[in-house]
Amino acid sequence: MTENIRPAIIVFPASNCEKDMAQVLQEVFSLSPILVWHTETHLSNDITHVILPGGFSFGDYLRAGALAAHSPIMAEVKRLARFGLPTLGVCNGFQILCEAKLLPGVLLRNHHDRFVCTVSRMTWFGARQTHVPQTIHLPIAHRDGRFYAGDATIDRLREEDGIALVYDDADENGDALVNGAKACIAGIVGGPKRNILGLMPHPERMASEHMLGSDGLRILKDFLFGQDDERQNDCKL
Amino acid sequence: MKDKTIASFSTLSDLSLTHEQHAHEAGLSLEEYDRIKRLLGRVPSKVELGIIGAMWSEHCSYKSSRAHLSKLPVSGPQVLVGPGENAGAIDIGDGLAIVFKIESHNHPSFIEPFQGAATGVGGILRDIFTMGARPFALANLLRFGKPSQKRVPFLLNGVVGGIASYGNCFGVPTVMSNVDFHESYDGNNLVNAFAIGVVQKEDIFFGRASGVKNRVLYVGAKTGRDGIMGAVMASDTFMEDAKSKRPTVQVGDPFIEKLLLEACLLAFKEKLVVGVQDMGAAGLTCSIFEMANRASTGLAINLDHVPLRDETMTAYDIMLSESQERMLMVVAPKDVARLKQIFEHFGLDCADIGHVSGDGIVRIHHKGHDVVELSATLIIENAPRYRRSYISEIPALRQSIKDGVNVDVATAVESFKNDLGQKDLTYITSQFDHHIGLATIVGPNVADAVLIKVPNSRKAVALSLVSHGKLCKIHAMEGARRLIFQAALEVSTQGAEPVGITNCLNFGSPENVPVMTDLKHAIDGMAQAATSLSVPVVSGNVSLYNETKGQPILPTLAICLVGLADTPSCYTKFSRAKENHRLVLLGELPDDYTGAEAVIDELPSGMSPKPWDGDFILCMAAILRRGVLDDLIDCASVVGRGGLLLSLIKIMAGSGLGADLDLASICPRDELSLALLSEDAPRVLLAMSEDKFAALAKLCENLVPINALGRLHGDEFAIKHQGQIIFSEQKNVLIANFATSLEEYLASH
Repeated sequence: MTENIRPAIIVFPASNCEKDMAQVLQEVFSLSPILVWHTETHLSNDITHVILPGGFSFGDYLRAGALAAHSPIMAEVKRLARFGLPTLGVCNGFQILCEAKLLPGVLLRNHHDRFVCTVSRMTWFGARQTHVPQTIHLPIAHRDGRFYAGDATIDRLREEDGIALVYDDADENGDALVNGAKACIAGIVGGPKRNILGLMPHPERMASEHMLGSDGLRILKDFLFGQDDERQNDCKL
Repeated sequence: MKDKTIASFSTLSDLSLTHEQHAHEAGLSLEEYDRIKRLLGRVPSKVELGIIGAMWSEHCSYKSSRAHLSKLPVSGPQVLVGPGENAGAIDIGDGLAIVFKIESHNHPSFIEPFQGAATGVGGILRDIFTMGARPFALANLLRFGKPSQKRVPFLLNGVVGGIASYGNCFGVPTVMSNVDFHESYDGNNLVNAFAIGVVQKEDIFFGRASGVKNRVLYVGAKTGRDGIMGAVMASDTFMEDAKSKRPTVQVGDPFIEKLLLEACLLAFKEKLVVGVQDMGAAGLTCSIFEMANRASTGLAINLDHVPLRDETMTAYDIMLSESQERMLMVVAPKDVARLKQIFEHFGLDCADIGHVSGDGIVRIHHKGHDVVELSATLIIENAPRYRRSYISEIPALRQSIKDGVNVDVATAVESFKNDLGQKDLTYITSQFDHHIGLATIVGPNVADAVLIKVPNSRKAVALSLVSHGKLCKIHAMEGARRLIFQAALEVSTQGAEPVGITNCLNFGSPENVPVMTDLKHAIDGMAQAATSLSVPVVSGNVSLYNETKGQPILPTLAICLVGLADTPSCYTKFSRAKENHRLVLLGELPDDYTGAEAVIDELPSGMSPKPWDGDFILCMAAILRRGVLDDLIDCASVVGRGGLLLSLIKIMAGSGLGADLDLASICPRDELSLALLSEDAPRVLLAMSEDKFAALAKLCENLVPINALGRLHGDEFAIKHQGQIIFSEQKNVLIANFATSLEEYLASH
């Protein structure tokens, strides 16, 4: 059932994927997301999910997501995420989650120093609930998507099943061919209830067979419904 | 002496300088300077000279091409806005209009490739949202010098990086690139940027300063010293070191532009704007004079209120700066407060710099002095029009040119290997975000034309972006005609009907007779073909003086043809070709090599291509559309540069399949190479399932020849004639060669 679900999409000055995300939540999931400007300081009580969309937040001339992490709304986002509210950061949103220390690690410039827009094969392990690994294809579009963290952090992520999504194609060091991400990490999950999910790929760009594909639905359903398969049937597909 | 007497009648402050000198700096000839004195009845001030120099530059005034451009068909029942405004607009039904234009940013991109290309994208986006439309797709046409030239990798990476940084950050998908290399671009690379947007048709805005006493608002970024006299620079040839012109290149900030877009669209939605124009070429000057001229009004402007990055800038600097991300708006006095609120919300400057006057005079005030007092209409309507010399005789169109040309398939395959213009462009297009917006149905490199859903509509647009400098060099008129025909066929492979054309004419100096001859004939050819297909040319741009040390570029006519698809659920893609699909050739058979890439450099001089017939193209296009919409055709490639052979390689690369062909049905044994390599006949290669062939053949009956050539199958590419193998190669070898060389080339440089 979707009537109790009320996602908020946070909009920074140069967010540019908020409309795409809102469109998918409306058309595919029949939800009514609200867009919240970054200078707000409060999210209303009926908000059940928070999404930080893709984009360049403040032009990101300093470091991707660095300024956005200090926007007024982020204090509220942090408070709610640490309380257990499902929080998703996609692409630039993932960068902001890391800069805001809601997730470990950092997203660095791709090892080839170029922007890359392509569809990559990945393995999805689940976020709110882990499950049998699934092979999926998702689009990526970023220049600063090389996940990096120290070995101790990577080990801890592995122990805690914190690695939610990995790129399938690795180089000889085990890093992602497509952008150099350490241990091929494309997405990680954290928070008290495995409620904070950061992803470099864009699940909203693959949420229907009429788009590039529908593999992104698995991730969005996990985030929205906590991997409740029965509820998936309620979606208008 | 006489000048001084006249000057004493003017209240302007600085009329005592040596003006011939300033005229030269402003890019004006002495004749043009005299013309100005006659028009004004006095000598112009230095600022006025700078303004007139910019307004009369080739870039802004089209003084060499305007006489010929009038032949283009610009109207039609669906045309809402034709050439002359910021962009053209076409009615697509359901109350919506699409707004599109292609524009060059060649000179800046050669001097400083990253910023030059980035600001080219910024400029074309502003042209679209100035009309009130939200941009939903970008495309580009790029030309570079021969690959062995040392500067080419630097230019290519800079240009691609600049487009990526601007377009990706702004958040509009860049859905298509057309890239080629030739030595004539060694000293002048080309960057043509295309953008398309959508708007409710009653909400289209115009660049008009109407309504006496309305306020003039300056919105967006502050004015700096960048790009001063850029329009004049873009109307000149390069002589020596292009580096010395770096300060004339603007610096772009996509972050500010994104905010400007959202702020402007909000202001439009609240109906707060009377007229608006972006500050592109010649900055504040062009927007002030064009807006006043279109509305037959005057403007009183106080430059003291213009937001500046550097307070020491002179009136001359301010008027001619091409700083990016700025717009001029004309608004009712009562709406000023709300507009200031909107722009403040987005952190942008919004300054009230003057008002509309009824006397037709533009008066500009700076630091206690009147520095400009000019009639906008006088300056614009009296811009020089040059009838540059050209040879009016059209080269004869010859028929068969095949004798004396010998090329076998293996040699042609070998030559394609070394030709970067024939490569898969993934290295470039993967640096552009082509998925954002959720509207890309068929994206870059997977078909000849891309197909993009129009936001908030059930319809989609198909885009084809083509150019063929070598063919236009051989015969500019037929070259131009073929480009339009090819583009019409390409959008038809996505089930779309051609609805409008935008073009960019990139040529050398019009003062050079052979260049002017090509320019004239290319425009005539474009006019003929567009007329024969009944597709209007609604916007365009002319970029002349693309030459270095007297060497002009190839005549590079870029055509972007927009098609409209009512039911975008039917489309073609190379990857839709499947094992055992039949390969089918639609169209005429070539009997000529002219223009064929494989042999073009070896052709004897004086050769001319065979004219294509507009009615035949209309017929082929209609059959293609029907075939796609009836779901008969899965994959299509219009045979163009590289001939049938390159179309086959593209389909094999896209589908990952080999091909088994027997060409006995279309040509005798000794004309196999002609059939594979010629570009001289309108042809489309299709892949479709066996059981649908009869239905397509029925559509073609008595109208267009159709021939089955073989099927997609296995791992090998084999060309046979009556069962005898003429050429064979592992498909992976051909595909790898097609797909990877561009990246390898750049990696190794």
